Amino acid sequence: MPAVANVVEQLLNGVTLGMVYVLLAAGLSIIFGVMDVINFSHGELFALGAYFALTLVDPLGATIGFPVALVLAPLAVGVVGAAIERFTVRPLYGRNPLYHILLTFGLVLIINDVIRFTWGQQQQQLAVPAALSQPVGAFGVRVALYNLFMIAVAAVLAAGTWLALNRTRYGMIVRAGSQDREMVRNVGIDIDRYYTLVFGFGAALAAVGGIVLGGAQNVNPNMGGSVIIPAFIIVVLGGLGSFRGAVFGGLLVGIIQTMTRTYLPVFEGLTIFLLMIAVLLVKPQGLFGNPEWGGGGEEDGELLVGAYGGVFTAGTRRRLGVLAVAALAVFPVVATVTDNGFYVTLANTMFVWALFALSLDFVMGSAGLVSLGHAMFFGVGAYTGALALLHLAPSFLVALVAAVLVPAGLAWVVGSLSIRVSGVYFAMITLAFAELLYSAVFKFEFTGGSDGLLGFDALLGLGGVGPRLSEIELTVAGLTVGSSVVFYYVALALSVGTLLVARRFMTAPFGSVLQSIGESDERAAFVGYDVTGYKRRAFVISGAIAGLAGGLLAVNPDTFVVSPDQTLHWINSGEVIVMTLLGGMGTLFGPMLGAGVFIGAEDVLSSHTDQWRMIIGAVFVVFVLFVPRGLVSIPALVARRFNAEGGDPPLGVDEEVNADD
Amino acid sequence: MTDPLLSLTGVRAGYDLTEVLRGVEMTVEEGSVVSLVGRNGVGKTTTLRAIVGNVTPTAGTVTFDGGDITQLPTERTIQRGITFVPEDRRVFPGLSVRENIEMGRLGAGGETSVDEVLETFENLKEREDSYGSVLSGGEQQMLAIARALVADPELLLLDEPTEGLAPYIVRDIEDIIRELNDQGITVLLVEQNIPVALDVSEYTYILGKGRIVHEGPAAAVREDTDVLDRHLGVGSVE
Repeated sequence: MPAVANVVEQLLNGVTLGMVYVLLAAGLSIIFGVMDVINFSHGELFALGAYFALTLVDPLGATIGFPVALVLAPLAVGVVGAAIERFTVRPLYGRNPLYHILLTFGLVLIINDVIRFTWGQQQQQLAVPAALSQPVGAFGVRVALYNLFMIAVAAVLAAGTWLALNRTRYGMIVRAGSQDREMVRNVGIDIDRYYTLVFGFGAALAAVGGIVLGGAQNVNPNMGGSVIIPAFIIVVLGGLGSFRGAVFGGLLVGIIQTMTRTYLPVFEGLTIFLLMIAVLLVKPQGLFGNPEWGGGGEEDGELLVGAYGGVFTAGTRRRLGVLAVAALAVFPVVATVTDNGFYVTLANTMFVWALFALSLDFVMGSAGLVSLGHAMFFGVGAYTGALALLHLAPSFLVALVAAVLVPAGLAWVVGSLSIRVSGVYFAMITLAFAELLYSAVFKFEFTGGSDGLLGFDALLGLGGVGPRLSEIELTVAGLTVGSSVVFYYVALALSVGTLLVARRFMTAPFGSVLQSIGESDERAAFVGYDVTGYKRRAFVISGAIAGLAGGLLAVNPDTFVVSPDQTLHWINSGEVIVMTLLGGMGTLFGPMLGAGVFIGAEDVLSSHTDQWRMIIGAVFVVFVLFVPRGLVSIPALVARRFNAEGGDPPLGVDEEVNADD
Repeated sequence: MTDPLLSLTGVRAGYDLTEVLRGVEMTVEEGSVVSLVGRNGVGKTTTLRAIVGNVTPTAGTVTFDGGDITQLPTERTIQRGITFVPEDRRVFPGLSVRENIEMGRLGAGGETSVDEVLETFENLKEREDSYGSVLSGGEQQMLAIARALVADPELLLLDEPTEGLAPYIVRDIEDIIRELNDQGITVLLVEQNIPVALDVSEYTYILGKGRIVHEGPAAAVREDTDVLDRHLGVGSVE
């Protein structure tokens, strides 16, 4: 019966992939359980394992090198992991878990660039011993011996981890720590020492996963990024902090992924996200998670909003704002006169991202809704804009209106489903929705698959009347003004206008309620506010603004293509969070400033070095650690330094934290 | 006269921007049972948390056994011989009864073995493999005390051990405190149940808004209806 044999073969392939996921997810889950750290860099540590192995196997040869690498490379990665915990993660304990997401996102940029710099961009082959490359067969089922080897290695390690957790003192202390950290200290145990150990151990497990998968497929710089999202899904599915959940979830996802790829290719990449959304909606704590063990005892710190008070008076701030807008208004003229038109194009990109960052801050800085999937609204806005231009009417107005309405509707749906869960779960469920859409655009004809959409062009008018935006050329006072400049003013007006509207919302009672929700859902509900309703409305407005940003991207005459990677990829969600924090969360204008600085830095750095991500990542890590209130807090920090009582660390800018004057 | 086992001088502590303790002064003599009582929210729990370092005092000193422990991390304080049974028991819900006690021994343990402690708590011994989360309130309290005792403490800090327990279990807890004291363990007891506190302790401190507002032998406080009324809002203690 060849059909049955085929299914069994695919099942075995699924289990093989699943076991790699188990190795990855077990560490991720234990790390979260014990220290509340969501480690985005786990995927890069996985990749690092494979690269270390590559370096060992090359000189030693596969037969000796591979077994040696399987032992030494994970140890080395374990040391790297321990160092990461000791020097970057540790200063953040007690702060909101979001800062760990941000920090480890910065680490992703750094480690990934280190990998590209050290080992190159090309994919490479990790040689495995010849004895393992043979196929084996029984009852008509043929499978590579190497697959069985992978399953065996992972099973031994998973069993060993289980034993270590449940049958040793170390394991008992780690489990106790995941239930009540402060109480572990109260019985006289220094839990911090175990944190380093757990982080290192988790990193080493991930490295083994990277090596065995690298041997089966290949080793490339993107391998970390491609496994981290499934790994998160597994951890959330199984229950954050649950080892059993990681094992069960890993196998489940591995089998489902393999089976859909083989038998239902249409749904490839969709099923696991749908599964995760379904599980989170029914059982937010995951299949094996325990809602009562919050790692409790020590309260999570709150999100640190940008603080810019105490230096400039309200009047000065207003004048500075007007001055900034005025400077932006004359900028294209100066750029054109001095023949620096390129900077207008760059500024246009900044406007798009500034609006995107504003949209995130609207929900994150006020109500504390950390969306890890905000790229979905940006991306859907961009796609809607481009589709409207292609099929509806080639008018920039139509495109922008559509780009606002469709994401707003999407935000209503996603918001209604996901606002019921909060904190880390909300972050994860938004990420799942975004990834679902990202995978979906590859499937459809009308979204252009992986190429994206091409050949759209906006008219500066309505109803087919008006010049093509990309062909505009005006001569004003002897200066030739191109389409970029026209777009620049459209974008400037929309950015300033949207900022003012958003500020109006935040200073109105609506904004006050959102802020009280951000401080405590429960208290806001106790005094009678419809917390879910307020959050959903804020989320819809945020989705609309993100959509506007996406629409602007589509209308921008310098945009030739709207592609999945450029709009819907999770990296974009991560980057916009980076911008928001960089500028100063909760201030609305701060994140816009952060977006400008980020895009500017990216442009300057990438023209000088290929390792620009590493630099941005490092700067960002420094910000998370030392300037968590963002760029807008720097004047206050500087003022403090020069005042008599300077010694205070940057954390405590508390004089005035309200978002407006 | 020997130095007290524990003394707090001018201890100030709090959370973020709220100062809860505003200069607490108190001493605990070796071998005694001292109670700390007061209305809700005056800082009784914070006092215990400041002693063990769950909150770090912003001013003042805490000395124990002749050494300054004010700035010591919690685990080091515990290792010096203070054990802490916090409010709400805080047993590890996902660890078995035996493992919970084992945790106490791993941290600051001495001679006493887990089995010895289990012998003295018969009802816990019967359930040594059950998870902490499935125990009743009274059993959890016993377990929390057992976890503290396995560390052979010189000083035991108890935060509201009778809260939410049935009257006959409250009497058990009183008996246990007396028994431990007979074995030479010094006890500092924070208690809402004033009759219990005054019954079981020799000396009592009354805390009001972050400062000690009255102190004296428990028997004398018990008779002083004026003090009881003014600081605790009860006219007499039955």
